Amino acid sequence: MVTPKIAYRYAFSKSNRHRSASLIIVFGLAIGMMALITLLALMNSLQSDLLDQVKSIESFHLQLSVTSNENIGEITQKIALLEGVAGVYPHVNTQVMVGSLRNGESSTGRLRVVDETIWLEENPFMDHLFLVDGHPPKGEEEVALSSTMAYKLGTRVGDELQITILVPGRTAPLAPVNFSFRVSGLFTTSLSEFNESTLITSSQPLLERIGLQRIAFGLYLEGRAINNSKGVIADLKELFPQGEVKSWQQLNSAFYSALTLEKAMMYLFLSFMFLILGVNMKSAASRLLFVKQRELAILRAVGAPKKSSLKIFILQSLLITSLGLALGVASGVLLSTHIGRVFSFFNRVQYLFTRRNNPLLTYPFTITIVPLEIAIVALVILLLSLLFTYFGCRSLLKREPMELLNHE
Amino acid sequence: MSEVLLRFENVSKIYPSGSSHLTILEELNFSIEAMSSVAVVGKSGSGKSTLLNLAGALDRPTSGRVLFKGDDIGKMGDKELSLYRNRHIGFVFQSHILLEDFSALENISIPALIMGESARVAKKRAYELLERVGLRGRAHHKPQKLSGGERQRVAICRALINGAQLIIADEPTGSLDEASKEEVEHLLLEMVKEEKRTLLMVTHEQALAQKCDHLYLLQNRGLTLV
Repeated sequence: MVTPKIAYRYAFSKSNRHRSASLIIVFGLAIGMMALITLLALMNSLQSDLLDQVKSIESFHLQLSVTSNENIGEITQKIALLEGVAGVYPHVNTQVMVGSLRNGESSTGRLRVVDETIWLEENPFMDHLFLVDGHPPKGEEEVALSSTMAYKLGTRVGDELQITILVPGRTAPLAPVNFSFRVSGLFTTSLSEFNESTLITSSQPLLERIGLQRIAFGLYLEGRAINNSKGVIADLKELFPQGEVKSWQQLNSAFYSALTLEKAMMYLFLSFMFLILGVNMKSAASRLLFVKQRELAILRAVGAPKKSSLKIFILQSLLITSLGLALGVASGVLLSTHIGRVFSFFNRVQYLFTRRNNPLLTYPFTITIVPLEIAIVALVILLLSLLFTYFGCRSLLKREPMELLNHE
Repeated sequence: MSEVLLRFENVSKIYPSGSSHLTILEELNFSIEAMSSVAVVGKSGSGKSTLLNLAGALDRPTSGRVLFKGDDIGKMGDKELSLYRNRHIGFVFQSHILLEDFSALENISIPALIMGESARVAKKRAYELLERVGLRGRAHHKPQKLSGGERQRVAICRALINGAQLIIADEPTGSLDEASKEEVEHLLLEMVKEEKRTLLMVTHEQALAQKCDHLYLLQNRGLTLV
């Protein structure tokens, strides 16, 4: 029972002359842990937000390109019957030239021709799409375009638009063909790229004119299970052996790579934070041992075996690190859950001096706290602390007690 | 003839000193009988403290053997060595080395607690010893609140609590004023005699050395009986 008593005395007791060293270490650990938790909570949430936005707007969960003699309606019906498929939308996703017939303004755009039913059903595509004016395109002659593009073209709902698209020609591989549409509605999305250049129409003649080779069938999966699409992919390959199926990750490889890179950078950043914490913990462990090496020598002189001496300092380290981690976790969770208020406060302070809001501090941050992540971080820190203490103490214990006393 | 408690057999202690070596003790042979008191005198740097450290297993000889009741200390593992220090040896150092974060009572109790005594028994015995050295009233004082003489008395109590057969004292009065010196000298010799312990002491004080049963002079890396 003497070991825990001595360990506690060396850690926090008021009687300990070096108590301030222990408290500084606790404080340092708590700050480090708080910073790690807050950073993780923010990064997780930012990534998840971004992923949700990209998933909802950029593309379908799966895309199928087929070379078949069947018509679009038959293919759509076949796919819709597959297990796990929530919706099928034949569409074209291609670059076009857009011109306003009212004022002659023109711009390039990305034309997405989809079946009009996509506007009527609840699906991920619609989650982030907001109709600013007018109504969704109906029939062959209507088109909806993004509000930013409408602004660039000076177009309003009801205006006529001419869309120039390259289609396979008789004498040349591709030939420009013009289609005229009336603007039925203006929309906005949560991603700027789509606000800039997307047009949506449900024109059946356009689909037929472009040809099946340039039409893809967009699929939404039941429960939006984008990471569990293997079964549907296998069924599609069986149904259309000549077809090509692309997953969401493949379709959005650029976004996906960027997110993966961001995540890798985040972990690199975290690793540096760990490294800094690790170096601090090593010096803290050395300091705790250094100030107590005389005590260690006395304890050995009065008969404490090496094992007991080691236990005292390991236990001391365990107590100090655990308290630091507990405080760090509590303050980290508290700070994370109130991060909006904290940023808002700093924004107000900045506003006092600059009369401008800081976009970073006014961003509507949300947080995602993953308990497992916190547990892993805490465990790693605890293990590092114990390892540094163990190796430091072991090297001291290799010396004879008299050497330690004479060192004083 | 009393039993031999501690025997040095051809003990040498050599310390590395830069590229050369420094021989402190060379082929030292001597023994201490149980319940006797032995004083070792010598110049500073002659190796007196080294001799005590070897006897108390705080250091290991470069060659030769240190035998306690016939057992070679050098061959003991950590567990046995710790047991040896805890049960058979009591240290009283010159700089009255105590655990600064613990009270006088706790300092005295710790060897007993390490030995496995219950806290109650250890405390009781520590109080008895404090009573004998006149420090019961200072039981809960930290070393920094005690005078040099009081600290040394606490160190004597700590050396005696486990019934150690060999008390090793390194300049026990070296850092004390005249009044405290006399008090500690008297106490140490009296308690060792009363409790039938063996004392191995290094001192510069001729008067104190003369009070011991045997007096050795350590010079030229060897011991001479005076």
